[in-house]
Amino acid sequence: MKMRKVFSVMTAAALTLSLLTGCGGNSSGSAGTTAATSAAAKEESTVAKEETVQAAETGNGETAAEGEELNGTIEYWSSWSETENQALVLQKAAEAFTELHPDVKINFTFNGRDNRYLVQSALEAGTHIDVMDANIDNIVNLWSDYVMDLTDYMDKPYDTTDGKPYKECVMPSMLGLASSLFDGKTMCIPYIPQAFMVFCNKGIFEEVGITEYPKTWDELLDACAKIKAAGYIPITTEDNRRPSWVGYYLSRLVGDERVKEIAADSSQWDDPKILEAAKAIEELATLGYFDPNVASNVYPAGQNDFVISGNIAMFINGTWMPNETAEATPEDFKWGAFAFPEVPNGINGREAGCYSTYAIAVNKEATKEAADIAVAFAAYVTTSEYDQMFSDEANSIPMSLDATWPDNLLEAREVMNSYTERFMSQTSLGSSTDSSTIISDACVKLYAGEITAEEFVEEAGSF
Amino acid sequence: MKQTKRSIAIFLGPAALLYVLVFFYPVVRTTMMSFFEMRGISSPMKEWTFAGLKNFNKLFHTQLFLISMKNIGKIWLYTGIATLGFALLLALILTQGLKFQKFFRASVYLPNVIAAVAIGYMWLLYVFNNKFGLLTTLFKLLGWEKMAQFQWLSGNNMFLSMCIAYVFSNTGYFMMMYIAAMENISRDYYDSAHIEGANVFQRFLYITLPLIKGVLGMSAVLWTTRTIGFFALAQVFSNTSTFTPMLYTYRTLFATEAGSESVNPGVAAASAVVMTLTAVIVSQGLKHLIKTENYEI
Repeated sequence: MKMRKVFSVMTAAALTLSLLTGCGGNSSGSAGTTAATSAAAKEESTVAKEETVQAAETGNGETAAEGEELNGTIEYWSSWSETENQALVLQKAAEAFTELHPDVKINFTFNGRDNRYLVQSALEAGTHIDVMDANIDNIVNLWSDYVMDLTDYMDKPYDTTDGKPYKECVMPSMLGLASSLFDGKTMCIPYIPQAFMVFCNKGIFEEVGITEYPKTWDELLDACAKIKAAGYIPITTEDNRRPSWVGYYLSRLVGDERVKEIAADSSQWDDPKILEAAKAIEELATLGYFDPNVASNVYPAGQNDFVISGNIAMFINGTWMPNETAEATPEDFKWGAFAFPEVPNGINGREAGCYSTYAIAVNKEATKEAADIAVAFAAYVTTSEYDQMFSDEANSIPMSLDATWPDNLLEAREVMNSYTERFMSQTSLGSSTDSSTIISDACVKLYAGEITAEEFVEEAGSF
Repeated sequence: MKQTKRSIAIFLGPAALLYVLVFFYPVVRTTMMSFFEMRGISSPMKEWTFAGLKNFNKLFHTQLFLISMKNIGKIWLYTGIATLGFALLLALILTQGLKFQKFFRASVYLPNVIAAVAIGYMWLLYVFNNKFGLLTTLFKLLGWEKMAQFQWLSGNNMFLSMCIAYVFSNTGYFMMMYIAAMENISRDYYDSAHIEGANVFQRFLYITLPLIKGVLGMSAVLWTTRTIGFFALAQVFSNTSTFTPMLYTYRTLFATEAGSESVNPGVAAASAVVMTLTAVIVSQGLKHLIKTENYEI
């Protein structure tokens, strides 16, 4: 009898665990559900209201939102999971926005990253969605048939733009990216930009006497030598970011467009430039510059180790890393970042780099009322204090020109501002699903010194 | 109630309708999709363009898919032998009337009710981690340095590590099935064999095994259908050596965040069709191989 009880308790516990941890992360929530956030939102909305009044007084008098009062309910499907900081800020922003516009209601569905394909299926099935967000590359590739042209909205002022047209209040490079991907039209509104670069433990750099970040490949080798000599590990990576070193080197050498062709077609792998890139990375491995654990670092073990152990100098990763590792990072950890160095005979310099952004798009079938609310909300999110809150609470990059970036991304900001040419979000080496797993495995073997550059080309090119 | 054609139709109707809607329709639609090209999984049929065998041709020229088929074969065979073997052994032990027998049964069965993703991450992050993982710590405590240094998650060992996790979470399910079958066998056979002087191995070989042969065959078929959809652990232990056709289908259908240009529902459907056919053929083969003799027990 006792055993039976033990059994039932254990089974029940396990079942609950599996329910809690299982897949299916869909969750929805509407603006204005929790008392705590609503109280906070009230306070903030007062500030927002004051700003609106100021805007009306100082600007040309009429904001788009004011011209005709916004009215209606919009359905917003988001790429964040409900518990992520970004989702929390988004909800707070919605609370404040709906306080400002009492006739507006915003219903959220937080799908996590699966949103990119869930939206597509849901729209085909006739589900009512007005607004959706995703990585901008995903919007181009998966949603371009479903989204509304928002170009005209960019010239209008909104609640928090001080009477200025929206396009003058946010990072021009991001708006530029949005329109360059859609033949000059603005089909979505960027928010939470991201970039992929060399992140470093600045403390180690300072300790070994490196005062300037490496600008060329030779300088990188010198830096690695100094770091290793001081007893630190120069470079690490983990499974999710494996192709980064080969990918960045190759994109510098032959350009990201060419790398895209290489990733999609195994017959291109006899290009001697690939071997040249592999040789350079092989040298890093032979000199022992990669983490001895590089082969078995599985996300998030690598990035946690990077901040916790304090003995690893460099990790090519995204601007999301400081946020993802926030809880594990010691207070005295000094974040640094620099652009991937120039490589010998490369066609690109440090002005080119991987960057991308999440973006808010509006369903082209949405009514004009819903679209007006959607854009006004997107403008609010990217120009109000909530834009700053993304930075403060989610360590994200703010969109607004006068927002302050998170401290741990200050150097990343300089790098991002120096980019004039764009590589795909984590270089095009991972752009084909048919080849990315095979290439990624070969990369890690190269880093771990298990295979030579020639073997790498052979192995990575067999897809 | 008298069984008439009408009553059969009435009682079978709802189930049949559900079956047609939930199973038959998707199978037919997926099979059709495999011969067409389209933009997304839910694109309306009028937007499809006929592609003949192009999708299958592409599929069989894609190295990753071929690797994944080999992988699933290896997973099916190796972890199949290990899982069913362990399950049989544990079932034998746990039907001997040991102390705490029910507790042990429950413990072995427990991982089966936890979601595969959770099990996968548990192994990945807490057991196989080569800095502070359970195995590393354990081998260090035992002073077995060589094993403590073992890179469970490096490319070459990932497959082994994933198989261990898979066997762990599946053994309980089949053990329960075997226990049920074994407890169905009358004690009289064993008692009389015991009196005749048969030892434990002989009793297993000549009484237990023949009498649970039907369940063994069924478990092999079940194993096949379970394994062909191998997905969650392959997603967690992400590597070429652990890549499975189901994961290939998923990635081709929905792509990864970085590779959203590679979406190809036609090829994904072709891959699903190949998997279904493989499952049907292997299951039928197994059924023929393990013929059930009916005994009165």
